[in-house]
Amino acid sequence: MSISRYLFLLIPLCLTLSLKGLAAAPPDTVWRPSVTAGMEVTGLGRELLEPGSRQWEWSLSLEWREDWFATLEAGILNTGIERVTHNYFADGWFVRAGADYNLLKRDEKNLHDLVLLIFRYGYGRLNHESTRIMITDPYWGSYETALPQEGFQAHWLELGAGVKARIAGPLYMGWSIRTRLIVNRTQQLQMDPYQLGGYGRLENNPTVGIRYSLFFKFPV
Amino acid sequence: LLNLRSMRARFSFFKAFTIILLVVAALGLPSCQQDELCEDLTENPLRAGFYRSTDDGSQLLAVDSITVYGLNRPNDSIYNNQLNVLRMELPLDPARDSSAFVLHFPEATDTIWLTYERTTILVSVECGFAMHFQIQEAHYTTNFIETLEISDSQVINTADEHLKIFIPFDPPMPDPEP
Repeated sequence: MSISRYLFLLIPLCLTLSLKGLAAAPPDTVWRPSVTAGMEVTGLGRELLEPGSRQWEWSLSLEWREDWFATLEAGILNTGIERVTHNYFADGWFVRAGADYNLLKRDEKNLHDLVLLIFRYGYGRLNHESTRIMITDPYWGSYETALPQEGFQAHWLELGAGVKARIAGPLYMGWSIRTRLIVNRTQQLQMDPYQLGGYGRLENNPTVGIRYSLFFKFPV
Repeated sequence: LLNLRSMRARFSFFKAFTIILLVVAALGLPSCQQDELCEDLTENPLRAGFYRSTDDGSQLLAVDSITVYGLNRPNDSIYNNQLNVLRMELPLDPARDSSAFVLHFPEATDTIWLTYERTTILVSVECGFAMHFQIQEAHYTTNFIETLEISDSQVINTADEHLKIFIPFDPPMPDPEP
């Protein structure tokens, strides 16, 4: 699993390197600031991968100077698991702020395709609890306990690469691969959260995540 | 002109590549439903190996036979007269901060007491919760065991060995019955 993750990491890097060389002396184009709103669609598939988990994430991006995008991303993650032997509930939110830099030089034929280097600072917090935990041991028998509600927060950094391409009109789609590293987190816990919105499973630090997004570019 | 055509072709590939990735991801999601069946380990036994001391450290050593059970549970064996044992797995009691085991060797019987800290973790949606242990202390009798060493105090979902139990290489013969 981890090998395939790192192989995926190579894809944007190879694309970046190969596409960077394409822009041999393109004609100058008139650049205008632009605002783009996006929705992450990976969260919609999360319920298939992680039944009981639902994540929604939106983004707002401003290209304030050519090839530089100031970006704000925010979202929520809710987890609700009910099984005979256990339950688990978590509600949290997260924000990320940072910048994207477009490596792909634009020409008049390809104004709308981007290859991005991505930098983010992320912050997330949640409350989680479990009222029924049953751990069964074949020798000692079953042990029942519970986890009272407790809060958790973490700060992390992200570095990644991605591509964005126009589908039609103002609609774009894109994907990115990011490496995330937690730099500060709540330490004294009865139990680590199952996952943190915007970051993923906490047992991995650093971790790698893939995101697919749809975007709408507002005319300015 | 050739250069432009080449660029156009490569950008078409670039877009197609993005679309293919999206389709593959969409198709791959159902097959990746890792939480439908529990395939993760939820039992985290303590692993102990038998060793003899050597000049340059230690060497694995099989005990001829062993019977192991929890203290005060002689009728509920974890190992029952198991032959040629190099390593054994001992389940730690998830309900208490300590467990004790009786090790019955052909030559003598010893008891090991282990104290630990417990941490509950959610393994996955379908597997539910499991217990991780951090060994704090180990006490033991020395009827047959020479010494005992905690080689890894973290008892989690790995195949690591946690205890080294040193026993005599040339076991003394039991005293003759009077």
